[in-house]
Amino acid sequence: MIRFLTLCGLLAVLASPAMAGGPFPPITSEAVKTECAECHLLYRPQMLPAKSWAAMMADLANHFGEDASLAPGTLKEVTDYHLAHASDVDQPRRAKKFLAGVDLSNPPMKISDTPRFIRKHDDVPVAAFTSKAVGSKSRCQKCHTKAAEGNFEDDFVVIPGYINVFGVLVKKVWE
Amino acid sequence: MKMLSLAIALSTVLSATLGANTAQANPARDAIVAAFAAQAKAENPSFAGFSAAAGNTLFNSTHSGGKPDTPSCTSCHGTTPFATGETRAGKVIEPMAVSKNPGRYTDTEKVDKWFFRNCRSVLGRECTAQEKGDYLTYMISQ
Ligand code: HEC
Ligand code: HEC
Ligand code: HEC
Repeated sequence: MIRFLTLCGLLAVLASPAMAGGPFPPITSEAVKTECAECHLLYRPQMLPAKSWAAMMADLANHFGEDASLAPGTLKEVTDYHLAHASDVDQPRRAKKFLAGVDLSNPPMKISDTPRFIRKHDDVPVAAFTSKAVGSKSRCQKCHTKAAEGNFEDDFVVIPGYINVFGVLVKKVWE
Repeated sequence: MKMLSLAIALSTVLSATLGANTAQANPARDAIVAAFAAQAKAENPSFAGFSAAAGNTLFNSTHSGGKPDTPSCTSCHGTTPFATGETRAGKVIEPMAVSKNPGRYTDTEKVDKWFFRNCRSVLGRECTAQEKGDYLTYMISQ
């Protein structure tokens, strides 16, 4: 009986969101929360390795075609936070998953270029990213309805203009 | 003589700000405009106050010299001061006109940060104090 209960307990733990990945930990730096969410979704530091963040923070004046430069003090805080929570530094499994397959000698500059992103979206048609309602791969929150809270679980994914029929994506032609 | 032109400059600024004050007074915003006026005066002894018309031109014109994707302030901000805009990454930008958005231009650090970034993105250089004051005077009048 005790053994059975332990087994149940073990199964419950295994099935809990913490083990399945769960949402990303909340971002605790006020500077990051304000400065890195002015133009887009607040991306998670655990999604890119330290080398990528270091390169990005060193050239914010040329940030994907835009000037995102910061005052020196703020820059240091924002950089330190990203380096401390990078995919090859932070502990949670979520970080490890985003590190898998990354070539650390030539790491991607975009989360949407990481092996995990590519693998997880290979079923999503290109047109679903470029549609008017979404715009680009970088706009995670257009499909991941809880992305702002760091939750990318598949239970909360809705692709605008598509429905999921038994695992197959079908374009809503009537829209 | 120097004293006189300074007095004229100051009174122009004061009347401009006071004129706007009737619509939307805000001590923090007035202080930001006054600081740009002092700076403009230091940069250019013949400074003759700010002009909403020049601010309108700065905001609405297509410029060259900046980053290719953003030739105008209106590339991101709405096409009018009353319209919402959108960043290139898809985030909504609330209207820039003070009457539409009374919280605008009340935080010096925020104002400085965005003038620095956006002028370099659009014009390929930093804006002068004159240009910043013109822009603010235009948006305060809207
Ligand atoms: C001035 C506006 C602006 C600011 C401020 C800004 N970004 Fe960006 N960022 C952009 C743009 C524009 C893109 C490109 C989006 C696209 O291609 O659709 C981008 C893209 C990114 C991407 C790649 C997204 C992807 O597809 O994987 C990351 C990561 C990123 N930014 C991180 C940051 C961080 C961290 C900060 C805070 C230091 C920051 N950004 C601040 C404008 C900005
Ligand atoms: C066009 C819609 C769309 C956009 C935009 C999008 N995703 Fe996704 N994402 C999906 C779909 C669909 C899935 C797969 C869900 C499933 O497996 O059922 C997915 C899966 C994922 C997963 C795996 C979730 C899990 O539980 O296994 C992660 C992580 C993820 N996306 C991150 C991102 C990030 C980060 C961005 C932005 C840089 C992004 N996505 C942008 C549609 C999108
Ligand atoms: C690449 C996109 C982009 C361009 C181009 C752009 N801006 Fe901005 N601007 C922003 C964003 C994003 C913000 C911050 C969001 C907000 O304040 O709602 C901002 C904020 C500002 C602010 C601070 C507002 C405040 O409330 O304090 C000023 C001032 C400003 N912009 C002026 C300009 C001027 C002048 C130009 C043209 C020379 C310009 N911007 C061009 C994106 C842009």
